[in-house]
Amino acid sequence: MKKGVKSQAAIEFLTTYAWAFLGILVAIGALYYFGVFDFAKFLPQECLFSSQFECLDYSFVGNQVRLKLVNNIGEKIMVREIKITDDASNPLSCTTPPTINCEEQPKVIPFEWEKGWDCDYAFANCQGSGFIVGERAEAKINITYYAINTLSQPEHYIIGKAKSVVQAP
Amino acid sequence: MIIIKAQSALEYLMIIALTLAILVPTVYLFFRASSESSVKIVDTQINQIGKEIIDTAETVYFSGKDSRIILELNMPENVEDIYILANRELVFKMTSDIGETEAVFFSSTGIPLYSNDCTGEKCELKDIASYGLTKVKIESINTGDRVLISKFEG
Repeated sequence: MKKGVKSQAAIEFLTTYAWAFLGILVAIGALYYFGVFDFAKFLPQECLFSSQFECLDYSFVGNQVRLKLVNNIGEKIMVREIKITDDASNPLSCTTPPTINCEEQPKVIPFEWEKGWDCDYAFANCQGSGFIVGERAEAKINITYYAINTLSQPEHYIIGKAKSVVQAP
Repeated sequence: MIIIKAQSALEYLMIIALTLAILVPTVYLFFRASSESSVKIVDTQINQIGKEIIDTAETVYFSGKDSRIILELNMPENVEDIYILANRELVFKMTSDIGETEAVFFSSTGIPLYSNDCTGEKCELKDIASYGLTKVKIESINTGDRVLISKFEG
């Protein structure tokens, strides 16, 4: 008789906790559904470039990656190539901008980039590597250039990275 | 009695779970943010070093033959190589979280830069690329028309 009372109390205790657990699990599920546990979105959205090519502004909109970079290298350079990618197995690929606006002047790659000038790059048709509206995406930008005033014009390259949530167009 | 034990064990587990739920995301966010700021710190250090070498080379060049200045530089660990190209481009090759990249500093036209190990148009300065405190000697050589950059052993 005494043993029966004990087991009943244990079952009642477990049943109460089971409901509590169920409630907690449902609450956690709801929070997860609304993206509360997506910690990546709490990370800063930023554009990391060397200060020689400072990133003044950037955005990921629709299927575009837009960047505004300034030539702080102290020399007039010739930009030979600009590419965008990332480290994913299905890497991000975008169309190279047909024209680049430098101080309101349209330029076509390869182009001369005056010292101190800022240029707007708009990469279109970006796809792959989870480049989806509302998701956080990352892009690595490679620029190949040479200094016009150096006689042999050896090539150099620079890598920058931009991270942001892709906005709806 | 058994129920009380079970209750305390459950409460213990819940406290641990709550602590971990706070700690794990905080540590994750901290490490991601700190790795990004370290890239910026290295960039600032390299810029400072590059500009200092170029400015000193110009000072030495205009001071005339046999003038020399010794710089004490604190090289960051991400620098893989340093070299001079075409006697006017001081190149720092480095690796960071972003990948392998270059920082280039240009001497004024007419101030030719050299090192003790020149082949073709490339002059190696790998010996000053090592991590930590390095002394760099910048001197005007020849008839005062060249600037030699080398490691100062002293």
